[in-house]
Amino acid sequence: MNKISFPFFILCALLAVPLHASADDAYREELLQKARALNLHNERYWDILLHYQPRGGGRKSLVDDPNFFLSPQGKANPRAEMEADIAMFFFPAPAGTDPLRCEYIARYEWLKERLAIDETRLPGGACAAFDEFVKEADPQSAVLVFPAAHINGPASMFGHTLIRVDGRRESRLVSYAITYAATEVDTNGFLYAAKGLFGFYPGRYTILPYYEKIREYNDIGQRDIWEYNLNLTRPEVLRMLRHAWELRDRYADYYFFDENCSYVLLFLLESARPAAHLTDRFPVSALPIDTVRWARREGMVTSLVYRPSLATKILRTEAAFTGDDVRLVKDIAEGKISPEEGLRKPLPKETLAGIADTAADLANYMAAKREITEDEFTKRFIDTLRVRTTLGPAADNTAAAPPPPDEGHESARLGIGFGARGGARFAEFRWRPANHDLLDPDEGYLPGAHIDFLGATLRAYDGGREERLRLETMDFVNITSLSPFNRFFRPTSWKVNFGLAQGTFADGSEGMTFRLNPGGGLAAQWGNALSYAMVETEIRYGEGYEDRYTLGMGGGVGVLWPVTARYKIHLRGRALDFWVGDKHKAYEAALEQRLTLGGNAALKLFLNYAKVYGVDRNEALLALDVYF
Amino acid sequence: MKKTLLALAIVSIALVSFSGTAYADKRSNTGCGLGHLIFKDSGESLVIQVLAATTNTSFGTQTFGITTGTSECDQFGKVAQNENLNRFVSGNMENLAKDIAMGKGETLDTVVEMMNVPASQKTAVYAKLQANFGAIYTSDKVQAGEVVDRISAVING
Repeated sequence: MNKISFPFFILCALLAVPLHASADDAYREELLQKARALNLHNERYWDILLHYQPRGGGRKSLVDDPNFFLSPQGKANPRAEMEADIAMFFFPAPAGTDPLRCEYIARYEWLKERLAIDETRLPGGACAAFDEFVKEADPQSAVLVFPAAHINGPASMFGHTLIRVDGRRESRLVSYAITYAATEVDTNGFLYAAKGLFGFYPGRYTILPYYEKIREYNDIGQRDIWEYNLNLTRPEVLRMLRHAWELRDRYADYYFFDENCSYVLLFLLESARPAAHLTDRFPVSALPIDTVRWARREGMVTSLVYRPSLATKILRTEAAFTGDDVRLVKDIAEGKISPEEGLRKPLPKETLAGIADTAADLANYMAAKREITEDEFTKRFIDTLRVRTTLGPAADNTAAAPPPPDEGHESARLGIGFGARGGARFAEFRWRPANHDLLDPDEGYLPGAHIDFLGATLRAYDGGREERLRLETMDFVNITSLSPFNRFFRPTSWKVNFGLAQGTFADGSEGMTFRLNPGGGLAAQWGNALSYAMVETEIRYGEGYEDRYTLGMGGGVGVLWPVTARYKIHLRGRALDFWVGDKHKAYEAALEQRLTLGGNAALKLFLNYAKVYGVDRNEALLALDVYF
Repeated sequence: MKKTLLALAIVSIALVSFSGTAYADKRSNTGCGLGHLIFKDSGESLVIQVLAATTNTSFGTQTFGITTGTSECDQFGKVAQNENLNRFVSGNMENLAKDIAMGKGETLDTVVEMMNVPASQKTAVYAKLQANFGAIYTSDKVQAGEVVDRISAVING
């Protein structure tokens, strides 16, 4: 159905209604009476199909696309929408087109069942386009798909979810995937940034072949994919497909924390199985992995499939290769040696096969990263594969899959602790809505990644201070990505910290400051300890500074060492020379320790030494963290 | 004042180093050979990466409706019988080439399933395709339509 002509089509159909025979009028009235008598517009399934949520005493749909509703009041009036929908069933269908009710197939089928509608008394015939789609999709079972974070992009750490509908075919690649994502984005980086964060983009539902999504996440985005098989039955999957059909190409304003890609997909799962309560939990936020956990708790998840990304596949071969093997893989991929020559080395055949496979993957990866041109890539790739055909099977070096992301700690964290700072005692409350920092247990998360949105620390000081209660920090966004060097890749580690933080001024007083602190550097892995070094700049704005601001440059180093599965240490130091604005020097050293107590609790001991404007300050904090 | 200007300059440099302009690469249709899709879809700057967190959009990866493929190459030399097969192959050129060379893999499994090759003949067909790799991928400029035709020729030959 052409999107542009669609509202116009409804208008034509509405104009045609009064010309219709009175028998239709009588039957329509009968159905409307029946719906009122049954109080159908207050049933939960109606809320699911129209995405209604309680809002200020009434109910309002999360969908913003006017074409999703037939009543002008449809977005906020479930009853008006239902009656408009029933009236729509009687719109005549021009010859050769499907009746309009086919576009709203999920509500039509449900109302048909609940009102025992006699389809022969409605104008128009079968839904040819939808039936064709069902034949093509062959809905038998469904899968909740979770593309995880990018290996060096903790910002993608929240991941994403989509739903795949599988048929009887053995291949899963040609199954259909239903996804919801922000669309129509700007091409200017800054506009994209601002609007993307604050939800100015419409999110749109799309249905497309799964292999396109694998390509997007696995091969190009370098994100591992986890597939959670669901125990939805055939009729349930068909119901879900009807709802997806109704939603396709419709949009809803995209809000990062609640109405995001994952939360709205829960309506699809509920449309399949209304007994599952997923959208009426009203969480603080719905991160993609949370939605996976809820589906698991509702008993929907049966088994799990892991699809490593191209980069992960390359890295997983590293352990089995000698230094010379790795060099050879890189030389072939980088075009320093022809595959014919490189793969003639006197090595076991299965080793050569593995080298050829990884070299082809590495060339593919370099192409995706635009490190080589299209022509360079295709030539090296095909030349390598041509030799590869003569080498037989490669040695099997499949490493075990990492722990699945839904088994990681919960996203939100609350910390309560006590400490002393320069002789004053304090109680501390730290709240973090999402989702992981360097000291948290890494199972199911990216090691070396820290991402914090809107985390805040509040302290109540005891004695010796004018301020009894104060906000210590408020992070708008705080991201650190430590990606260690390995024999294949040399990733850059980076950080960006933007928010409010207490600052020390020249006279020794303290006050709230705005802080922007970006940095970049390198990380290396020795055993299981991760070391890093970064160059950073920091700008602070605060009333207590001369000229109200100060800007400096400097660096930081640190070691992150998981001593045991439950005990982790982070030792770090920073030195900054503020040479513009209010000139001064700042030094900081910290020893942070964390002990996991049980599934959802941990004990932390932080020792911190700082020297700003030549004034020393020691701080110690003992805190209990709870994840939920 | 001078100081303020200097500070602003440094801040803007710092900011720019953490942004970059995102651009959706609208390449002209260069056909649908190997590497075409990779080069059409990739190249995300750091800022885009960061924002993928909130919007889950990747640049240049356009979303299409049900009936649209991403291949941009519906002009096959020969009208193929199976539009889905052509679309699948043009969207998986690299993975398919690699599977044929290795003699196994999920992309290859999908293609032979779409070509209705009986399970009992799969092993033989894979070996045949592997042996004929050079005949299927005669150059690195090969197009998806040609690949489909040559695979059928090898299977049926």
